[in-house]
Amino acid sequence: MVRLGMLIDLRRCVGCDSCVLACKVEQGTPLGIFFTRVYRRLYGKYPNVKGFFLPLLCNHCEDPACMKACPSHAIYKTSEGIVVIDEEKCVGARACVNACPYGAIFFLREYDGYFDKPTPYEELLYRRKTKTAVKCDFCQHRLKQGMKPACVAACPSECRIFGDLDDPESEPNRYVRERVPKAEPKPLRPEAGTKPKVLYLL
Amino acid sequence: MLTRDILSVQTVDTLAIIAVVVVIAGLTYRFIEWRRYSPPNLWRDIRGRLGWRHIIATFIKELVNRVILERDLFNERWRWFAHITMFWGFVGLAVTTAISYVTNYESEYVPLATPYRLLGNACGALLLLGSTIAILRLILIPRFRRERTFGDIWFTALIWLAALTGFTTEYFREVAYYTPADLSVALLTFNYVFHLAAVGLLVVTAPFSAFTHALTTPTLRYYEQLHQRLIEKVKARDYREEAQLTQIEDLYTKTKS
Repeated sequence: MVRLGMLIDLRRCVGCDSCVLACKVEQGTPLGIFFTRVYRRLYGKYPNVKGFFLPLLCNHCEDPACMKACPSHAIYKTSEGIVVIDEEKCVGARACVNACPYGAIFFLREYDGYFDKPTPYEELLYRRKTKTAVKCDFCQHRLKQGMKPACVAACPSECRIFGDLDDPESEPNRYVRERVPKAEPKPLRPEAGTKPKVLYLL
Repeated sequence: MLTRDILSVQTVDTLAIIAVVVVIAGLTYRFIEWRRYSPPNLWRDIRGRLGWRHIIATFIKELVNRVILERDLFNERWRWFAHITMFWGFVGLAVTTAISYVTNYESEYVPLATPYRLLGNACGALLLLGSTIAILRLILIPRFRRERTFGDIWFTALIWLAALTGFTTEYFREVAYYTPADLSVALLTFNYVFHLAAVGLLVVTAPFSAFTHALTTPTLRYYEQLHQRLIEKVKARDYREEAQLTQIEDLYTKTKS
């Protein structure tokens, strides 16, 4: 059974936003919708100030809260464990937006472009049904062609490692075994009990 | 022959109290589950920073748009019609049943033309119409047929059965009252017990069937609206994102110390 997931090595993330831009370009998301974001956080007190970058995206949980909350069963898991929204079934109830503990689901009200008029590029990419919930799908269309998700492919520091979490020989598992054998990848907000498949190395 | 002769009022009361306890326990479980997903401090800040005026105004707006009018479904006419008829049918039946309970505790025979009985039957007809449309959609539309879950079928079938047996009980009650023959009494007994069983199962399994979406969807939606208002008003970061950043910061702080 394939269980696709992602390992993000925060020690390597330089906060360059390449993943954010790659996702924008690949998914053609309109103004204000970012399937992946990178946040910066400074902590500590001068002169001992430290910081980190935190890339966030849909965690493709094994027990997705969004799927449970959806009244029209528009959210489902593929055989590879990717959590997907069927835009034809979505009625825009927005229950999933609130249920997701990671803030990874967005409501596509309408296509607000970045300029006064939609650019030809935007017209080409804005194909999603409006008034529905939208989210990261690990670039399913790229996976079908044997490619990696856009954010993974674009990451210059290779901090995003994508693969089958159940396969001991997959990239994420090899990465942990060979490079950081003592480290334990951590999920975000484990208290939510959703069993996320995006794990972080600190 | 009165329905109270079949099952005493006290027995029905006892069963109803058990059902209510099960429903409260189930909904509490659901609520606790949802609280785990919800970011920390959100409700505290909603109360503190938005204030009750915003909370109540958003509640009224959401109640009108999402519950009373079900505007989310305006694009799908049949779906909206099935929802709205079932919802208002159910609400009407709840109200008329409550009136009947208060004004006629001993379940004496009440003529069919009594206002609350008339209203109850009209609401029952709405419920039956809505649930019949829902069942037909489940059977006839391939997309729904493919995707339906056990919870959907259970809920829709029970609500339809409850509505149908409600009408057959009404019919046989009239028949048994005017011509109290053995057969009509037996049919009334059978229908009434079957009706109570359908309603009881519908209520008891509500927290675990598709029934819950009537409560959870508007609640989640309402909470999300408050969250968005809070973000706009205090220019705060999304509380879910903040919770994740705080978690990583805590982990780093602990690791370094």
